[in-house]
Amino acid sequence: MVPEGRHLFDTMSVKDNLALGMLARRRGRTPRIDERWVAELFPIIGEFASRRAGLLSGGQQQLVAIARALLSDPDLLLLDEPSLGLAPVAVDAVFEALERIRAVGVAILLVEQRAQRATDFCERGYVLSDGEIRLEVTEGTSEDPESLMAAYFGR
Amino acid sequence: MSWIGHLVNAVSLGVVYGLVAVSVGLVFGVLRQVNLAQGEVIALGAYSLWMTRDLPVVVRIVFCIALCVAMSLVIQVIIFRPLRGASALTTLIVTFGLSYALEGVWTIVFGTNGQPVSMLSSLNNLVVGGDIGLRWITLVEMAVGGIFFAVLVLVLYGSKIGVMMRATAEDFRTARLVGVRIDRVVTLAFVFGGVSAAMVAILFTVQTPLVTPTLGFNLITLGLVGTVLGGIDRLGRATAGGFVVGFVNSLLGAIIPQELLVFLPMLTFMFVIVVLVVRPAGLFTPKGSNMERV
Repeated sequence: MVPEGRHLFDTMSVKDNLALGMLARRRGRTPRIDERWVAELFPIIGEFASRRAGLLSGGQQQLVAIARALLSDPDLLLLDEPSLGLAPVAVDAVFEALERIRAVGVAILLVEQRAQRATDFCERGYVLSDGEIRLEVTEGTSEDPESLMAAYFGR
Repeated sequence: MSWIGHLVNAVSLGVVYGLVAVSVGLVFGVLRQVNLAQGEVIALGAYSLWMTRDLPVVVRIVFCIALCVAMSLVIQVIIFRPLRGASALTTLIVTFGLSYALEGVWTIVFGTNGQPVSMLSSLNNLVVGGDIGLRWITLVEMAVGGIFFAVLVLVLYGSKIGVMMRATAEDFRTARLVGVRIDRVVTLAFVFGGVSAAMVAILFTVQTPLVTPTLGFNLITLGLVGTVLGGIDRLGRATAGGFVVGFVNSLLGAIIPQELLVFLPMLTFMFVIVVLVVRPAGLFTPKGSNMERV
């Protein structure tokens, strides 16, 4: 699970943050996702492993937050607004990572304000408003941006 | 005695209050709650040294530590576990009440006038005489305090449970979210709190061989003030604050004239007030760092 606003342990090193991610691993099962896999997914994390998490940029922090969640070896990865407050380049990096995580068979549940980006990425997407589904988007159906916008902005 | 002598002596009390601050600061760190009853853990430890007065010193020390840890854990189970998530004020009041109640228990069981405890009194002999007046106990205190703090740092920064403890101290909810076993972390904090309380009990009674019912409360009041003075949200700063308060208290006690000694607490607290007016976030908290005020 990747909480909104990342919630890293700012005063602790990146390495310690990641070590905490491994606590929730289930026993007696060889993890599909281990430290090595994550290190390959995010080579940049290795570079600042001993730096304090709070000193990283927002995009880097988000990658660490995702890495921390991945190290619990989840079947389902929950992400709450992973693009929140990030620069466009950093958003690209986040979605690239999500593509690769999906590719190894981890299901992803993503809550995201960047509607176009999110619906492009997902197999199934829903626009929710006041607890109701306003629009359902499935992969393959070429959804025209107009109706997405309309549903999204409640028009 | 010369001013060097006063300074050397003041280190003794500084270390004692530094350990009191560790004891309070550890629990505050993980739970954001103040355990005033920690003073009574110290008192019980000190009384245990009286109860075991006929036994060999090593046995007395081990018994004292075991008793303090046990009592610390009992406080955690019967007070802090049910009140987990309650406001800091609630536990402050509850442990304040408990302190008062226990003070009454000590008075009933051990008497109002206190019990003399003679233990390792030879440590009060001088290592270096003359103007400096360095006593063995000061050296022992510095060594014990230093070793204990080093062990603490090693555990906090070098072990898995230490990482979990720091995570809990920084962000309780997220720590729980990533799977930190909070109960274990809290228990460890109370165990360390109990050990440092025992060390305070031992070191303090060696220096001041009379255990009175108010001993615990007096120590915890000034120790707590010390943690706030240093910056209660960080263990190192809180400990340093405890040291400063003990040091200043001892130094003031030595330099003011005998007839003004009744004003000693007032003078010490005046020092604390001045420091906190100038640096509200704590003496050792860097200026400009945003911290949640307690």
